[in-house]
Amino acid sequence: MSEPTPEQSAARKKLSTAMAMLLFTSHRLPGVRGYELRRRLGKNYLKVIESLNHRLEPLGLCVKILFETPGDRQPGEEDYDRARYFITLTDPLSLSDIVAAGWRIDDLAVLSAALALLYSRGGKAPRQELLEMLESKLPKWRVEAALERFSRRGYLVDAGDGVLSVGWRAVAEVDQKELIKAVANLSSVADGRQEQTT
Amino acid sequence: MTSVKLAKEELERLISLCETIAKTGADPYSVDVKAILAKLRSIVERAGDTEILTLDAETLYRVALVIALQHKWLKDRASSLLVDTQLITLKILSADKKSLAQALASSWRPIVSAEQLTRGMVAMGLEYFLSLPTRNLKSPATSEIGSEVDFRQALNTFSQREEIELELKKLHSEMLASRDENGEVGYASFISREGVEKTVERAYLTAFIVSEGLAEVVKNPITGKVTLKPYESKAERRNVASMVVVLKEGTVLV
Repeated sequence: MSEPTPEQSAARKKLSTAMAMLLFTSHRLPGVRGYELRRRLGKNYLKVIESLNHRLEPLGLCVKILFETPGDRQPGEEDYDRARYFITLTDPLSLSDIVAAGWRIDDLAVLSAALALLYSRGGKAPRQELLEMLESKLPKWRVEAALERFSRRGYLVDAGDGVLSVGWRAVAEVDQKELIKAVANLSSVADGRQEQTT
Repeated sequence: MTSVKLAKEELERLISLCETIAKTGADPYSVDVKAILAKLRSIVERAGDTEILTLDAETLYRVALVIALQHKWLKDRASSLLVDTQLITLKILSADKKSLAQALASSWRPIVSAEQLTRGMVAMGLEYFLSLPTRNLKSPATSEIGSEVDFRQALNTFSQREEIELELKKLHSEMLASRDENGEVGYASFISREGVEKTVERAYLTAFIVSEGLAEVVKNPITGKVTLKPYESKAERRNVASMVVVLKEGTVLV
């Protein structure tokens, strides 16, 4: 095998730097901002990210870009600089894998219901209304603890004015369309029982 | 004077109404913009007070925001993402917890990040810490501050991983050797085999073996007896559940 050229070595070094920056939680939040990548990788950092994405694809991973102001218009250079970059899974995990990773079914149900309701309301809803809906399924203390935990993790935003909204992490990790579709297609418990008896 | 006060109250009420619509995400069409604008016109025509004029401008701004929300609301309704809130609420209320969790799982692609320190990173931090100049602390607590040797020893605890792995291998082999004709081992007798002082340690290591998939814990729902089913190699799990084991004065209460 021939020795790698200096250009190849430099490109490889940039890829490993990008990977380390994206994986390690350098601040309180995972991921890294575009301007941080630009500082370390140079002005062509988007090409490095694209190349990294190609290499991550066979591993079931991808680089996700979360823009600060999501809109219909084409993002500009400044939008890419201010955006947050993460590595996420390409395909969803199975429920048993998530449970094995330490998540409780109850907590997942709370997050699922909360996000579905918020998405159907355009991104925000009164906290009290959400609490009342979830209390019909789970004890109040558990619902409150779960909502608090999800607010801390960035899935929900509780601004303290009695209104909950969708957090940055939910935007980054949860496919809004798929969740709404999955919830809309849920069959009720009663339907399920009826189907079993017939 | 009274009319100024009334106008002020009316404007504040309108501002609060527009704010509530913007905050709660309620239907922005529930606000009658035309009626509000008519009210504003009548107030501004009568107003001579600067405060009223300022509040009037503020209300007009809030109304403009509500109109922007109406535009967004209409756009959302027209898009394919529109799902009736009532339908979603009904679905959530009628579904069971597992179905809801499954719905999230099918649309969730978690962020992958590394939050743990590696041994190398700890060693690097230790080197940096030890390179710092010593401050002249002359308090009684000085003697309690750990020496370099203590820190080195703390770092060495990471190498205990290999020892634990050896212990796990040993225990797994013991478990395989103790199998009865059904290929099972009694849980309580297995973990308490080496006496009370070793029971907790053996239970802890057994939990690791089970988590690794090298054994399965089976509980008979009728008798309540718990047995271990060791495997030669890692087995595929059908479903995952957790079990609490209580040890009281050396006795196993499962």
